[in-house]
Amino acid sequence: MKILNLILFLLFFNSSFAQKAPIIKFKDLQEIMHRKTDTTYVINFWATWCDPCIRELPSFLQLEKEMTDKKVKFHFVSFDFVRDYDAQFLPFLEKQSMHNYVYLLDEPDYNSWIDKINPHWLGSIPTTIIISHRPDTTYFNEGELTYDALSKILNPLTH
Amino acid sequence: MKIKLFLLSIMTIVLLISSSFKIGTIGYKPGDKALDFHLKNVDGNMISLHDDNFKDAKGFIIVFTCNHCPFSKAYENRIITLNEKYASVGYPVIAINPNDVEVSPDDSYDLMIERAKEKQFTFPYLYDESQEIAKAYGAAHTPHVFVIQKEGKEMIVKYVGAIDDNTDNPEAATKHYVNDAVSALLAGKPVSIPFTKAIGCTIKWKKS
Repeated sequence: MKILNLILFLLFFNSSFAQKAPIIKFKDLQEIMHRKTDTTYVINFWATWCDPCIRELPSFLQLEKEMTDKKVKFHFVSFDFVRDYDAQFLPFLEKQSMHNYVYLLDEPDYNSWIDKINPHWLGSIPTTIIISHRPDTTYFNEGELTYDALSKILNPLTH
Repeated sequence: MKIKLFLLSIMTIVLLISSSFKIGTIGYKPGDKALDFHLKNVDGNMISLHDDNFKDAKGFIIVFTCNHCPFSKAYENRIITLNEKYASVGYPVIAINPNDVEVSPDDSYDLMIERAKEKQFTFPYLYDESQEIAKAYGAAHTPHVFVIQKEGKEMIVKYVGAIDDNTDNPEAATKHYVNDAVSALLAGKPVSIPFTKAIGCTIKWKKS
């Protein structure tokens, strides 16, 4: 009985974590990027080991908080290694209180998919893509974004 | 209508020019002539591609890398293996750290010396303090590889990009870009994949 409880506990424990920050594949990312709704999507590519990514992160989290009543969703797609998931990735999310829409993209063959997102992408992170269907616009930025720059792009898309 | 079409074609041309400009600034492409350099090694000596030590070299595997970047670290053993495999047959590895020490203190010259000792590098590990070589080559990330071949006195770029297609797990890599490029050059064949995107840490440029 004890063992059964333990198994149940582990199953529940694992799945609840998996839901929090799932490891995804490129096709899952494409699904996120190609949702035709009236919501604006901010997709931020980052990693826990990337200093400029960590520098810009507070601005993103701040705007996410300020825009909860707007039709905008932030997705954080990490380039962290899968082997660092438990020891580095999850503890970082915990520390930053990042609970929603965080993913670890498990696609190490970058050359097979990076051009499909944008042929001009050199592959640097941070990179941010903003997708809006009302009006139909895609905004692509390779490099760090400030709070002001990001809100300037988002405000007209979410009003 | 005609004016509209005219404006549209002008806009297209402007767009084409600006996008080709962007590509142009990325740096060396296969077929370009590579610049020689004169950079300080971790042993204190200055190294350049025309050194007597390299007179038997058929070419070089130039790797822009650094101490701190997790992608660079993940590839260190593979870079060592590349040198073991190809230095004796004419394609030695030359590693270059282009990061600015102010922006990235972990990539200082002293720590390069330490890292080279720790990992027992069998190849030069040079410090591109002015960042001019990284700029000339168009290195964007670490690690970023340029395989070049000697053609007379010229150094011709034959491959630009990543080492292989799996940073995290060398055993799971299926495309070994640098291996394949050097093997092809040694066999006198064209390089079948001469360009890939090298993903990694961005080079830490000096703040102007």
